[in-house]
Amino acid sequence: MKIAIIDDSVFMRRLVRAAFAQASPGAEITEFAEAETALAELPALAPDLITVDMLMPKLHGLEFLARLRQQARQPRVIVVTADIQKSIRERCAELGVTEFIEKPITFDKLHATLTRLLAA
Amino acid sequence: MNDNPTPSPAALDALCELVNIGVGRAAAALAELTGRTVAIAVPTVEVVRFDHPSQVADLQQGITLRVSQAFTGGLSGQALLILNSQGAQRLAELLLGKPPGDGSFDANDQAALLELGNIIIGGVIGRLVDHLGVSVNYDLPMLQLRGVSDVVDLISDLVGPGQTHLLLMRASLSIAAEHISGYLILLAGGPLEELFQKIESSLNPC
Repeated sequence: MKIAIIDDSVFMRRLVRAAFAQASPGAEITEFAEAETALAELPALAPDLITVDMLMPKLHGLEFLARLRQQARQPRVIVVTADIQKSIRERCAELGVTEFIEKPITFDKLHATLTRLLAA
Repeated sequence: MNDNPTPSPAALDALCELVNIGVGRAAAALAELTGRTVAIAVPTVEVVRFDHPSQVADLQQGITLRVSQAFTGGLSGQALLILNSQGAQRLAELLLGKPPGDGSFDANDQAALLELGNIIIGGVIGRLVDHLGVSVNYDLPMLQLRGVSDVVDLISDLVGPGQTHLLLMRASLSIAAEHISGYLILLAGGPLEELFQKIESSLNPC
């Protein structure tokens, strides 16, 4: 299992990484602080699942998702964001997001979500 | 432009309730992240002249931490999370699971508080704009340590040129046992008449 975490907040990346590490021991986890860098490296990395924030410097999460959809390989996507607007949710759904998780996300909540998704 | 834009009592009440709901959610988020009980006070909403600001007595205690985040679109302005400096440090410790009294306030602490501000602000603004049927784009949140004695000093760098009035929505959040106290402040910019009109419309959807 290959997982990519894309969030400019080191605090959130650590939290998400810890939850993944417990929900999917042995998973290969890669972190990206910038969405642009992630887009460039995802084809070679070929993750099965990614988590992505919406509000990030340089490239907004929605733009990231739109450009991700143009890539050959389509991983499952979990959006983890504080931007809980209905318009953002709707756009994420249109862009094929598997799960939309509102921040704050605690370790327990995230772990439960990941366990459910990974079992599916 | 109206020299003294005033919302109707109904619009003011609706705005207060919307902010109250958002702040309640913010308190729940804070409680979830820290494992502590968070107390909130009923928010106040007022139109203030920028040259006659209200005083924020609780902030007259020296250096204060401020997380600010601008938003534009169907609603525009600034949202601020203000914390007393001692409280900011303790809050960072709680978020990161660090022991109390560590004394440091490093990049990890700042990243945690920045993210907290983003979460709280996103929750409050998200509810508000959804109710108004509009959407906004956020700038990245910014964290600053400031010497603060009143609202003017707190917000002076955030007010647009030529802006004379602001809609100031303010709510307090505190974790008494940890000596953490703070405010969530929303500053609505742009033509306030337009905002009041949107609120009025949202009260009468038909």
